[in-house]
Amino acid sequence: MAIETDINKGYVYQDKLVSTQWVAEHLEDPNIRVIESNEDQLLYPSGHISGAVEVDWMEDLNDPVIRDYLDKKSFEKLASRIGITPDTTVVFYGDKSNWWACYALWVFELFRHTNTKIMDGGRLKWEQEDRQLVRDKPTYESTSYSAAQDRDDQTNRAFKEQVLEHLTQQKKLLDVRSPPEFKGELTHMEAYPQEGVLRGGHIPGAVNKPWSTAANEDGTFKTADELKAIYKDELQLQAADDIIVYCRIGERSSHSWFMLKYLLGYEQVRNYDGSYVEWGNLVRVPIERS
Amino acid sequence: MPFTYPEALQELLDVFEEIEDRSERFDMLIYWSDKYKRADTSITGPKPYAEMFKVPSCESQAYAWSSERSDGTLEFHFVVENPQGLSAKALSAILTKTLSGSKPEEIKELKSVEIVQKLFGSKMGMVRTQGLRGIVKMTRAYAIQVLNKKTHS
Repeated sequence: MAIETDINKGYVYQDKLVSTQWVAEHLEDPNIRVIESNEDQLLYPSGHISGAVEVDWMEDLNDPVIRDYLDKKSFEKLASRIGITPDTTVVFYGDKSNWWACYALWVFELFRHTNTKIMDGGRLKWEQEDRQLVRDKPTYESTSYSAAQDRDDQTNRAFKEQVLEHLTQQKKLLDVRSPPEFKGELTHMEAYPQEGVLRGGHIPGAVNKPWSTAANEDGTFKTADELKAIYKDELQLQAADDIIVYCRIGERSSHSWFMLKYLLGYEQVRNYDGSYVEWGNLVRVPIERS
Repeated sequence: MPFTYPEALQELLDVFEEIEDRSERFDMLIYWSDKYKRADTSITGPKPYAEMFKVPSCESQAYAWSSERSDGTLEFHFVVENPQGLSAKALSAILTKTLSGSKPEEIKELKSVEIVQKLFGSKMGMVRTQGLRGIVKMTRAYAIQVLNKKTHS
């Protein structure tokens, strides 16, 4: 079911973003489910949009044992728990300019639940507009969600083998970490070598633009023209390019994936969720430092 | 002799350690985040705050100050600039309450990993963990600074 939305910033897929006002007007719509995903797990219980459910990236989206995402059965269980069907329009929002909301949306789309949107500006904008937050957790009747197919690891996701093939073919790579990480000046956070890398740097051929460049101060995405100036003109990433985006563990890069794919309409964009924590520790793959 | 935390902090850590239910833990932390009070300008001075007071690795833009009471115990004061930095606010409120009035000897060996894990649980992202540990480490650093001054005076 197509739902009209109200963002008009020149995007290719305008309907992938909705405004805070639009969400406020659709809180009672039974065909819409609002989902909050944050980095700080205290935010949702401290107050959330009325009717919103929480999807936690660690608890709900990751496999508990293998470094991978949940499988089809687990996704169906999650979707059933939050009372959605494949026809439900799911609107994601969260902290950090919707960084984690985009990550959650990306995972949902791995299961072909593409009826998804992001609330532009996220939680911050909602709060700054003094809109109501509630502490009551909603309960929805469980559904029997049946995913269209097994998890699709081809369309929007890249693994290390594809990245190696990609760089061999000199295709486009976008590294959205900070410049010190990109240059190899930072290899890991103190006392967390397990989330760091043996070799700092970046994947050869990658261009660097921190993920937050795509966002304004208020957490909203920049306009299409502003994004084109950065990603198309400055970084020379064209709409027809086959692009892989990455960061440290694939979380920041999902924000960039969303922006390239839906706001700029780039057709071939994949998120390498193993990202640099995997690459920088792999045996026999090249790196660059600059 | 094994290191023991200041009594007020130890008591609170013991309470948190008993919590098994995630929602209950979050409710407790939100309770503490509601108790957070921005440090007074008589302590912080005007903005912008000097870099030396900024908590390293904290994405919630937390700042920490310490002052010494006449009895030689310390007080701690925090500012968390990010309005969504609830975890940083909760921890700041906890440390303000449980460490203020303690001697620097009692604070100089705080174990940031242990404190953050006991309060927030072990399932946290790296970035958030680093920021929260940074807040604890700042209080420890201030205590060490005071002790070093006494040693060299």
